Amino acid sequence: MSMNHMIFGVCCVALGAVSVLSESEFRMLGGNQGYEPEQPIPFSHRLHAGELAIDCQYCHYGARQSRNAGVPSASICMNCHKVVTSGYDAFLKERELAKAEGREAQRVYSPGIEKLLEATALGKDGRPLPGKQPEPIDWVRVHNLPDFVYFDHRPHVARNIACETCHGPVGTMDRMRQESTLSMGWCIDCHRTNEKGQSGRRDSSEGRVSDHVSTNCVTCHL
Amino acid sequence: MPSTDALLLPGEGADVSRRAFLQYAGFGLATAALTGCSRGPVQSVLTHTVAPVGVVPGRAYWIATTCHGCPAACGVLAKCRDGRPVKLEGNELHTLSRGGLCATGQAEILSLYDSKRLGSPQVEGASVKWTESDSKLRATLDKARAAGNVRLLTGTIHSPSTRAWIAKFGAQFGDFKHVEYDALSVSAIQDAHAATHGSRALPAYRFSEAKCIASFDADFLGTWISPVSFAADWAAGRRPDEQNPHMSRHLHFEARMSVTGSAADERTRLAPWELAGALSGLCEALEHHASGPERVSGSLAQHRLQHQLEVLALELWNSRGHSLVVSGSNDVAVQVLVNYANELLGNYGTTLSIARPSLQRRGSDAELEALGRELASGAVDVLIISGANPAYDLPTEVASVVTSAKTIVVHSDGLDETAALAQYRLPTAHALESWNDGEPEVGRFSLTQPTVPSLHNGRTLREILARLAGDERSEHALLEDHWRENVHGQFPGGDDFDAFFKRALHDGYVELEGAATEPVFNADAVGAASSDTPTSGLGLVLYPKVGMLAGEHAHNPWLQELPDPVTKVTWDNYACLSEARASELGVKLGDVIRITVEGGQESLELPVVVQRGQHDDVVAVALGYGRLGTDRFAGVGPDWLEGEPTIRTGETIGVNVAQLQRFINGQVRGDVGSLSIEHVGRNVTLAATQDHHTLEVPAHLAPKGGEVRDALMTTSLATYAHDPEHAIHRPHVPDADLWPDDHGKTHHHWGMAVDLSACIGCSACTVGCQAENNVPVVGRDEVSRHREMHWMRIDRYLSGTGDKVTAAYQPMFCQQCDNAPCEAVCPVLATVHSSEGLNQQVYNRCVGTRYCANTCPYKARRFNWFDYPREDRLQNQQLNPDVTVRTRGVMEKCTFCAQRIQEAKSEAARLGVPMADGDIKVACQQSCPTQAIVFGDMNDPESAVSKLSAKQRAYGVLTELNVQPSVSYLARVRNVEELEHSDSEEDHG
Repeated sequence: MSMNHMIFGVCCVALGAVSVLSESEFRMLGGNQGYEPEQPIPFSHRLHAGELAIDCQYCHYGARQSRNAGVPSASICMNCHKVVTSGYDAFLKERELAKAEGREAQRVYSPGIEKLLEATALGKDGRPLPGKQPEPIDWVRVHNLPDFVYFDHRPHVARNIACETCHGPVGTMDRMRQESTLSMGWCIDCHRTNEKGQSGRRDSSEGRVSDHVSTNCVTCHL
Repeated sequence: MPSTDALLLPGEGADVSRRAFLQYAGFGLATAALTGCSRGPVQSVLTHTVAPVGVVPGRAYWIATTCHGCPAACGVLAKCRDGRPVKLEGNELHTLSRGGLCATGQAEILSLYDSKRLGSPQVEGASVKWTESDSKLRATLDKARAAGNVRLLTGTIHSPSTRAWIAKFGAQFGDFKHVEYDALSVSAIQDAHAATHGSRALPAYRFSEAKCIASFDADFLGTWISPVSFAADWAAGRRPDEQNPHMSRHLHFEARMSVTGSAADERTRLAPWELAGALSGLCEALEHHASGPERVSGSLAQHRLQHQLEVLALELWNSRGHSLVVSGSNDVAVQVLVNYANELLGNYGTTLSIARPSLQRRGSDAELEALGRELASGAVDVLIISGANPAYDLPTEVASVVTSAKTIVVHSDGLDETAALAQYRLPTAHALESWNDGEPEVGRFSLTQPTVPSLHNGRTLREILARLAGDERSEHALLEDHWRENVHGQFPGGDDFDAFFKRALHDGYVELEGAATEPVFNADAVGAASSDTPTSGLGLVLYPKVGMLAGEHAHNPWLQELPDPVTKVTWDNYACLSEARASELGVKLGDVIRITVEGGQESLELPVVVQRGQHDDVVAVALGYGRLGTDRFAGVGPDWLEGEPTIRTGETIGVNVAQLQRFINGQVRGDVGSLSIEHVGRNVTLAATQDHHTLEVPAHLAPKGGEVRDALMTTSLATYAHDPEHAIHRPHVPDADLWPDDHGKTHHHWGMAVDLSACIGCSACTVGCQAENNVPVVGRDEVSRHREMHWMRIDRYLSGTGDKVTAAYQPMFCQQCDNAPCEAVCPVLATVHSSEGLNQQVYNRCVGTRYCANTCPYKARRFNWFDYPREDRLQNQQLNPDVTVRTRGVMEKCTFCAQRIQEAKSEAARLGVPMADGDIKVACQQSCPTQAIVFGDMNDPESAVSKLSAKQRAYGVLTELNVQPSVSYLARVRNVEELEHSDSEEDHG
């Protein structure tokens, strides 16, 4: 490689770096893979979806009815957390401590649950706190597609595609992480694989009633 | 070491090949990505604290309610997403509007999100809380109760609960009067029925029952009373096909070119002052047929249209019982003759009825005039004005004396001309944020429910009156209690109240069944009528446009930018002159003329539009312009070096001509007075889309002998009956194909059929498309540069001259060609074909070469020359969340509402059922009052679109180019013996 080539190459690298760094909106495809932001409440999918095996759609009920799976409202959390206010370990510890101190065990509140109560403006007795308004919890969005992409959960859920196919091993994640690239190539790969053998129209006679898996642009770009 | 120049200019010393350059550049970029890779923007997800029942984030839900764009009260479904409405659609269950919605109705959604609406009550100019304005107003009214009077001036109120509250409110005063008026008055029709039938009522018209329709200047498909239901009725009788080549006959007499006149089978030019004579002649001819007593005589023999009137009378007589005569005149004598004609023809009870009359217009001009006199004498203590703008839209006699009332209370949605004069300004709640009811026809009740919490703290008139009376029940309770006590009882033997009210809320309306008896006709009221010809030989016609009506929609940018169906001009009003008159005066499009009304003090300056088909002796000017506050559009459109603002601050869009109206015999008339006009020697640019995107080959490019392009084909019913294919020129289509035949549309093949016989050019589809697809408003300057963004345009074709002008409309949009020329030229594959026949436009790929727009033979593509301002955050709430908002440098076009196709597919997948024909209704189709547009799967032989496309009068536009469009047009059939002109004479201009 000649000297000229070397210098030209270095210049290109420098120019590229400067232009990209200065243009903060520039992103590489799939650049959000591995994104694992801290959330206002350290909610653990490992505990809820993994250990306790709560159905994903108990909380993300939008997935079968809407484009968006939705982040559950605090009232859904409170269905259980009216009763369950701390981890089991903390509960046992308090029971033993109470036994040792010869008093009745108190209800223990984990810091996360306390935030949840605050958000819903509920007191520890489960009643609305006078003079307080519920405040929505400011979750940080993990899976985020560009504005010109219109993903729809409905057909995927209707075809019984496991949530883990796209969202990864959610049941092992303490903090939610973007497992896949969510890039167009990644979407298309799956669509191409499943498109085959599904031509032909109005397939109710074959027992398959949903519409075909499409690689058309307007499937996602509207 | 070589200089930097040498480095950047390969070939001189540094021999960097193109390939090497790309390698280095790619390497540089990759390194940069490694070093400077950034995450996407951090986004918050704010969830509900308590999830509302039945609302799923991202899933649309529909609320049945009523349109309040005009008093016609069409049924609408509001499509809501995440707690706010984003689109209005017609309610197909509603028996009057039957799923259609006009342009103004479609645009109502934008008025909801108008950030310039009044935000709180104002007393003497200071913003106050409702409690404060209530107590102050109560004190004012207490004074009037003790000694004085109260007058309530409103537009038509067909809400029974509001009327009940008005009655209750008025009863507490010794001297109270409620005056209703309509800015587009049909007072004379009601007064004529008071004379002939003993009851002041507006008939309910049933155009679907009429086999022969004679309209004397009634623009019933465009702006008259209830155009959506009339258009649906009218079109029901005008769908001829090969097996059943029958349709109603529609004869039209008018001075200017209207939407209805263009749709008619035969159209005759008739000046407003000739209406009385023509109807007298018609009645005389009908009397001959009826061989009854002669009450109208002597006028037919000398009439200039004697032959035509005799033929018309014969045609009507042959369809007696199933014919209809209507007139838009506001002259009682003319309307008495119309009633007489309908009575002679036995039409009462079939094509029109006053047994269950329409309540869509209730205004009385006589009472209005009396109020004007009372105001002028200074005898009014408190004048409350609600839902009306008298200082703007009334003749000077009343407009100028509004301020004579001691206290003025105005209930309006913004700071309009009348509110500006008021001591009390009370904000109105928009129909989409309030509870209300309506009774557009006696026995038909509709409900209005809120789709969003109040955005601007407004109240309905009912709520204001209830609060003044100290009634603190909620809006919902006020309405429900009224229905429990007053409406439910009219439906005996049915459900209990809760079920009844629930059903009414779900459907949006309830109606009484069974017939009622028509009152008896009193022939003594009938006599021949006449009116004076203008002394200068030139008269005035003031008319409403389909978008602007009387001006109540002037603050809506969609409607300002909507091209008028006939003249195709946007953002302005103007003086229409006939061709002959314009050439006599030596003026052309955009020349400014001065109009002076004889005896009037003021003169107006307006630009000219030369309108073929208009009567030579009239000047037609649109109402609804010159509204205060239209300078809000100063910021519409892009801000760039050569850009001209749509309007300068302090100016208004167009000129107000409402003051030229006069009271004649107790009726407000816009068609009286003698005019003089003169050319003032100025010229302005009118933003007219008429010559944009023409399909014709320019003369200098046309092959020898000229190329005839039959974009719009017309046939006569007689010809069609014996040869359905006669009018269809099917060009030779070359067999050559660039593409290998490997793109079979095995699944769906989306297509559309447009029945040109049913299309009336009303432009509801254009605004519906704009609402659905986030089409931006670009402003007057951009429109005049051929850069309007409407994905759907209505091409207007005129043929003939003078008395023999006929018009036709053709909705034109992307034809989703199977051999699409645009796809072949796109260098970045931003426009590609889908396996379902859609010509997809991928915005995020588009680099803006505009090759596709150049090559599109239909000129259906639109380019984003700029990022159009979307700074109004409230207005942005209307944006369809399912459609990308396009940025600068991107091409866009109709995609057959691909988002609706995807939605239907997803729903079918969710429910586990196959998609059925009719599951997908595209936005233009949904809005169309006449159901002229049908969308569906052409792979399904049983689908409506397949059946229509197989009709013998179906054809494709420009098929000779072998582009294979997916849209079929059904040739227009006019119910005449023979067309006056060959189709080739029709032109775009």
